Amino acid sequence: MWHTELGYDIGSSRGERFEPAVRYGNWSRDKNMSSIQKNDNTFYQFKNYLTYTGKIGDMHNYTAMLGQELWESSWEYQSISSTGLPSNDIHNPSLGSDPKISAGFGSAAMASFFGRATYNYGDKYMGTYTYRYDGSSNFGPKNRWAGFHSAAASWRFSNEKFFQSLLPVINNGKIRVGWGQTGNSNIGGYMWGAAISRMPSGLGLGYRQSNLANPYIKWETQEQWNLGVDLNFLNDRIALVVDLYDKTSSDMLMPLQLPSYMGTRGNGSSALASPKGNYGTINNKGLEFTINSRNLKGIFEWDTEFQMSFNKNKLVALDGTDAVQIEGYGQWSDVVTLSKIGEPLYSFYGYAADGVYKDLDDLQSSPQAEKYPANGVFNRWNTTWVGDLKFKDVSGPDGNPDGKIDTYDRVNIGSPMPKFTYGFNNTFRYKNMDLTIFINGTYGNKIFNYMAMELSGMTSIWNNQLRVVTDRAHMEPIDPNKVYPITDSGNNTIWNWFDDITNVRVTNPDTKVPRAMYNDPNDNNRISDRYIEDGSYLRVKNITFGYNLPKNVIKKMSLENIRVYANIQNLLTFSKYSGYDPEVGASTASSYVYGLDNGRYPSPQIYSFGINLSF
Amino acid sequence: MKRFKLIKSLALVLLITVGVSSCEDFLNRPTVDNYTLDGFYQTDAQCFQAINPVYNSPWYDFQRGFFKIGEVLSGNYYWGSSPYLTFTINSTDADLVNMSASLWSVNAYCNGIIENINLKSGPNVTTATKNTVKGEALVWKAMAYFYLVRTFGAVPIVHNNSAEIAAGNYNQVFKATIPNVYDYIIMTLEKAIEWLPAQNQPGRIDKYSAYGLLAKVYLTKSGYGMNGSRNADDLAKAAQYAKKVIDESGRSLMPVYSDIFRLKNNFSQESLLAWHWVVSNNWTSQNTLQSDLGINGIDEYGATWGGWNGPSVDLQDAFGENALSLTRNNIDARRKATMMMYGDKYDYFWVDKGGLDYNEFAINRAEYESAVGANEVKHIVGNNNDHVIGIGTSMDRMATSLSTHLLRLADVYLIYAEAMIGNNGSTSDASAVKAFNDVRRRSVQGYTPKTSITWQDVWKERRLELACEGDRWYDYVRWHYYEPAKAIAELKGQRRNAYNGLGTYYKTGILNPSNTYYDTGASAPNVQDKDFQLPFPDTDLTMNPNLLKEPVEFDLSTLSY
Repeated sequence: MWHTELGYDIGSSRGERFEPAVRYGNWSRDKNMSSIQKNDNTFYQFKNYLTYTGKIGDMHNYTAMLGQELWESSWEYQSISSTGLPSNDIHNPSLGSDPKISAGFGSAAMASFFGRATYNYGDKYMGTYTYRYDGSSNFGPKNRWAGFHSAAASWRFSNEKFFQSLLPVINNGKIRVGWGQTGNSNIGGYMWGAAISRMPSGLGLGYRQSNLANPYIKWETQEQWNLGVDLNFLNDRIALVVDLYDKTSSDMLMPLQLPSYMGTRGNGSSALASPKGNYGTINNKGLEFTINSRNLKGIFEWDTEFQMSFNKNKLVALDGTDAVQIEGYGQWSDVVTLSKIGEPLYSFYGYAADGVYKDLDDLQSSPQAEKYPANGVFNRWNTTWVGDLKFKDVSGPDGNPDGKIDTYDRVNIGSPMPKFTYGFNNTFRYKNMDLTIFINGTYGNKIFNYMAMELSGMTSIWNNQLRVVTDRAHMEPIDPNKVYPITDSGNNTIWNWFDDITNVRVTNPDTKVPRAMYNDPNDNNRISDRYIEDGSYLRVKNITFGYNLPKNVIKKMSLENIRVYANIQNLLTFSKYSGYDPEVGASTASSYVYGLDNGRYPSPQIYSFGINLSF
Repeated sequence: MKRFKLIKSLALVLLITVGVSSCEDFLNRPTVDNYTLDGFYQTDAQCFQAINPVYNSPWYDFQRGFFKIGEVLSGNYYWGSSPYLTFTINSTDADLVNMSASLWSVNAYCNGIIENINLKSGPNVTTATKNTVKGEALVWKAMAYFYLVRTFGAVPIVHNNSAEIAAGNYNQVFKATIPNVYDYIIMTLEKAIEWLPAQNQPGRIDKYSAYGLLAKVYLTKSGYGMNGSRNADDLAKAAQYAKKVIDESGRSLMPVYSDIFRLKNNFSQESLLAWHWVVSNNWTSQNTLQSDLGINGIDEYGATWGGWNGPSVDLQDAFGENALSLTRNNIDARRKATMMMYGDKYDYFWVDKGGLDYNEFAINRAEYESAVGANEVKHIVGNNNDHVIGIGTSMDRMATSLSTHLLRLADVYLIYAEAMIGNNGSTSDASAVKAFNDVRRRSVQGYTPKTSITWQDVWKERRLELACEGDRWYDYVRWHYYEPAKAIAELKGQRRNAYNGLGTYYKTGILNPSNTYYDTGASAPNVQDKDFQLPFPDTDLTMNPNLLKEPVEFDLSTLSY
């Protein structure tokens, strides 16, 4: 049998932006700005395959399939913008001064050949083999094509004769085993060569090299082993599905992370982009199980579905690089996570805080911070001071604590990866009414509360602060009667007790929040476990109550069905996390960062009511 | 899913043509809306177009570091709650990280252009063009390293980015020692001098740009590792190269000091080395210093926020000015060309409105912003009309086309004067005294030429002449090389704080000392030796632990251009 599928998709969008000329009190913008951008894209997909279904005797069933598919996607855009339009009324960039244009176009394509064979013996033994040969325009001439195999087999042992006596208890039982490869080519076009882009300068038109080429870039391969068991008990009253998997992504496609002296960091509009290639190997192992049960049957029905997942990931290797870790960044270039070879991915990385310095004696007897004055002259404005955070001295150049707080003392301060995640769904039905309650959550993951850095930083009077800063380190004079001015060891005149390091101490020495100092000389606001919080949560994600109107009522209205329902999403969340929402997920700003809360829009509470009419 | 016969036969044809014969063509999709490296560098014009962006784009993210290190750290500029004001810069500081990334990006650009010219340039490209373009790249590379070594001290030597990435040892490199880096800069500039023409197109680097920079490098290096005096050979070389520029370049000082900083003089002959920005729709091509330094409302685009800061009280003192006075002494024309203060009027700003009156603009409004009674003038273009008058095109939000001058002829004159004084404390050598007098005479009314000049004279003159041009901190760095205690003492003695209550005073004209006074609350920063080398950015330390170890001597004889 021959199947042909042809798909075609045309899309276009138009964006308009206008910034009016306005005046707000002291601030004004006298030049308006207008821009229009048009995007067009086309996509088509074409697929052909032949299938053959065969049977030998009663027991041997087999199918064979051979096919081909290809797609092409092309895009283009044009944009014009200008400033200084005569008025705010008409939004047409050609009315302004010095209109600027930009335009671009490109395309991508993929072609594949594939085949599959399946075999089924008496609904007891089942096997599948698949092969794909894929070509992607993202790779250079030598590495465009790659082949991927996969195979799976299963045994429904409940169909065996010896099992018949157990059927009243276990009505279905199946063991599945699978192994397969899949390819990934999602890295963007023309990474095998170096492109040049426009960059005008005061000397005239200019063209800069935009990236470093990697002629060897090729397909990423994901290889997965899978072992599963399906068991249905008591005539499907209880169903259990258990899956074990071990998945390795090798030749992972990613940009090469280079130190800044290789010149590939900095402003994305300017810096030479580092080569992209196949650098990482990542492994994921996990266990997932689901239990479905029908607890009550009859007029009042109650079904539950409970599922739980355990996953462990690990960075196995960084081949073809000179790195032993992958850095993940917060807002711009601050290192927030570090994934080291042989360790789980995305661990937060920073200093471990150990309370605050209580007084001069504490400063002198603790490991020395970077801003500890070598000449012993303390200064409230620009050296470490009483009330600053004391960080732990974990290591030094030779791997042992060295009495100094410096970059050697950064450690793994927690993992954003949960120990497990779970979901619990209950459905109740009584006559025409039904109620569904879905609860989900995670356990054992940490969140980096990035928002709190600014919101408890105490560095500017213009930023609102969290209530936690009211418990900051407060100061008091040790000797309130000491007479000023005095001269300190650096020959500076000291006018007040709070500028006198020998006469100041913290009134709340157990606090975890440092003193308030707008320029933060000790860098109390550095990446540290001060912002790490428990991200475990349990959330009542969804409650739906529905009522189907009785059939006899509906019939009169010549309708098929009327359903009235009410739905509440995110009604309740139980969590110790102090930020908006513990459901943070992957960072949108940086790869290799997970569980970093930089003001992610929180899951809203949604109440909805509705009526479904079926005609 | 559709099963029509027509589609089937069509499919068969497609399957055969696409699937079998032309799969490779179908999948071959290089960038098509832009050039690729292999097709570029084919004409002289293309080679110049390849070096043009090195005059602006990769430096873009250095602009803030350039100003904050050069001027705020050195005490020339007040910038409220900036760590550069209080010597509390950390290795995660955004301006520092951006600066580092930007300087290394310049190095990568330059190394790449030299490599591309050598490997990819076509047969139609003349040798003269190849040499000129490579020479320009080498001077920019030297400038980037000169900033690096004076800011961070020891840094790694990266000679060929693509080779080092291919070799895969980029995370194991060590920092090269400071003298090593200076030797590398000198080697780079010597080659540039060999390749560059004596005269180039307007605005471009020529042989004398390289000589001038080499003089400055030798003057800086002369104090390194010395105690109380400087290396006489280095000083002699600094004098020799500076003299070459003064005598042979054919360049002369512009007659009017403030003209140097106007748009129309972007390519003036006083400027030996400059960033040449342009307003465009490619981000990083433009100068944004007006946004960071200008008073809000100076232009029509609503994106200037620098009014709260300004040239420091200490710099005002150096010019003999006092923000607590309502009258200006305009003996030194450079004061007004550097900072706008109460009573100042500018005919070159807001030309369409008959000039900018500081009192009208900055004081008679809801809130007077500057905490020090002064605002920036250099790096400021004015409004859009001023931009159009200057260069013919509009400015834009966070964008002007004003060139930023990094090495001026006046700087070279003062380098010459200082190098000639050398270790003697003073000189009456006619050519050295003349160089000094030429600079000062241009700006100071009724100036009586000196017949002998001291090191202190030149030291102060450099500050006044080059104020707010991103250079002062490096004077302290090189002074600290050989007289650390004196450099520290001078910085600690600066008046780096702000005034209270200037707004009320300027609006009423009545000075009430209990409301309007210089703030002595923040004590002098505890400047220490380690403050003369800023911390290497944190991102790199995480990747390459060797950066935390002692610098290692780099064998420069293995490198060549």
